[in-house]
Amino acid sequence: MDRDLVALLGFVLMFLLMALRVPIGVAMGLSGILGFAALSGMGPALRLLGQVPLSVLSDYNLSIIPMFILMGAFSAGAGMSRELFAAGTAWLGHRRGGLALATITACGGFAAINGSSVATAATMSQVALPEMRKAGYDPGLSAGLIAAGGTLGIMIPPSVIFVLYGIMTETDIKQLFFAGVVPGIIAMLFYSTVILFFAWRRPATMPSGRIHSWRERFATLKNLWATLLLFLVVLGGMYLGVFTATEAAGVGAMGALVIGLVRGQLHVNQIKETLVGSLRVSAAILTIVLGAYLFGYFLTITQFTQNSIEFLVHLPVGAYGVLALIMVGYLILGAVMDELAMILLTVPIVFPAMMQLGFDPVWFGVIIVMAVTFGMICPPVGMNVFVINSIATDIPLTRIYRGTFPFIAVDLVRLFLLCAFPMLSLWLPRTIGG
Amino acid sequence: MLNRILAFTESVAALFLLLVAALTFFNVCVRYLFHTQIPDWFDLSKQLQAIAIMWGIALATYRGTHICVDILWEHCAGAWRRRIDIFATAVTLLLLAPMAWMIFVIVANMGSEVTSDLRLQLRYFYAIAALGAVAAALLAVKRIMELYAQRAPDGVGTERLDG
Repeated sequence: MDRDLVALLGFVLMFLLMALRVPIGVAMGLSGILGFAALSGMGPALRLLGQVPLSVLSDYNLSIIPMFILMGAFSAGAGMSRELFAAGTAWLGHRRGGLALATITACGGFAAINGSSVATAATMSQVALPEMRKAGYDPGLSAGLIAAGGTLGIMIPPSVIFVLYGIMTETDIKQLFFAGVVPGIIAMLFYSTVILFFAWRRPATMPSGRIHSWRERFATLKNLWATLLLFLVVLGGMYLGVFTATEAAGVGAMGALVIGLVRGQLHVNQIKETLVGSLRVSAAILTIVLGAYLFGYFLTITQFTQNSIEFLVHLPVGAYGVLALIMVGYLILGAVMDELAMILLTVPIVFPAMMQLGFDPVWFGVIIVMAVTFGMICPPVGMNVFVINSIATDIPLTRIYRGTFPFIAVDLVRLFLLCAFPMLSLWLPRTIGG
Repeated sequence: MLNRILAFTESVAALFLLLVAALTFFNVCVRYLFHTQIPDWFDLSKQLQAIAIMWGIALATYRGTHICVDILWEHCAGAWRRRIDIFATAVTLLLLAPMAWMIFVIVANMGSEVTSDLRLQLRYFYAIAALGAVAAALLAVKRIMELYAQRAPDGVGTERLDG
């Protein structure tokens, strides 16, 4: 059978199965195996189905994903997210829009000890959203702010998306982590600008809170040692070469557990629940990774990957034209598809094309994370928005989406800046990343 | 009874994840403090991870907590939602059943590979992971039966901490 036709049918089957609520990893894996069988025969396809799960699931490099998930879950259980928000509230809450600024600060702080956008959004929805609503903040704008703030979880290191990108493209994960710092800080500044604009133009949506005494303010700072320590150990250890990125994740997970135990905030039942929750999430993610590997083998023998790379490289629009087309493609895909699946499916195609066009692999990692950022908050499938809606069920989805629009607008500006000035991403890893 | 067994299995698998973190953490400590390493930390971490995740996949299949696209499902009424779930689980079984079979074939034909330090037989670790793959297929069948009888656990709203 014609290889291009089989590749096309493979994609059609995969998307059809996904639409019919077949788990994404299963849809990718089954389409991949059936396509592989159509071209190479059932025997080789079945052998692939036996070998790939054992080799993928026992790949030590992938342990970085469950370990960073554990670290984030233990950190939340140890109360670090609440302490970050409390500190932000004490220092900024008396200003108009102050609670919103405190939320963004807390999102950024929590992102530094947690590698997930959804986890950041879910945690902050429980910590900050009730407080903002109690203070009279506009519910839609508050929820939209948390959805956007949640995306800091994948830009500020550690980040599950950077990890996956690094493993797939063999790009240094340490460099990717450092590359995310400045764009993450820029995001916080841009989101804060949006908040200050609304506080100025529509003051009723963001009333000011009570003034905290200086003693209260400094009291909140002393609780932040745990967050700071964990961040410094994980990033500092990688920077100094004390351990690899994979080891850093294990050290971070155990560090968060030890901190929770020492402070008496993690108990046996809570630890058990955290572990089980992390296992569920890890299993769900690694099922997608497994499916992507199976589908990837299929695409390789159809030569779809190589043909697509050739096509992209030879488009008569120049390197930045190709980049723009890819970003438009990601914006469309991100709106209707799971972000992990999107990355796992597309990076093997777009990454080699981008490298042939002369782009930097670390910088392109940051751009990929930006693409995921839009997917997390843009309608109709914005996972952060769904998670917030599942926690604050009385705020309609449409209202949360409306609340995200100002932040999507500044994210577009940020994307443009990161594309126009690659040094915004590359300066830190080139300076200290080694 | 089944739920208790599954909850216990899930706790053990989750504990394996903690063991991977602990092995990594203590190995870093031992490396810098005593210039040595925990015997087989690398092989053990890999095997424990494979076992934990394989059993995690089995339990996620039964509980319906895999990551799915819900656009169509959310716009359907109850009966159609159940039909979609039955179809999705049946398709899942279509992948998991041959996967479990092939993993078992590979494990059964595995030579006497051992870990690098303690010389532990790798096939035993792989066999426990393979049992997880079998459990995944069997639990998919169980879920289809329960969905048919309208008693299956519903994974909607389960936490997602990935991207």
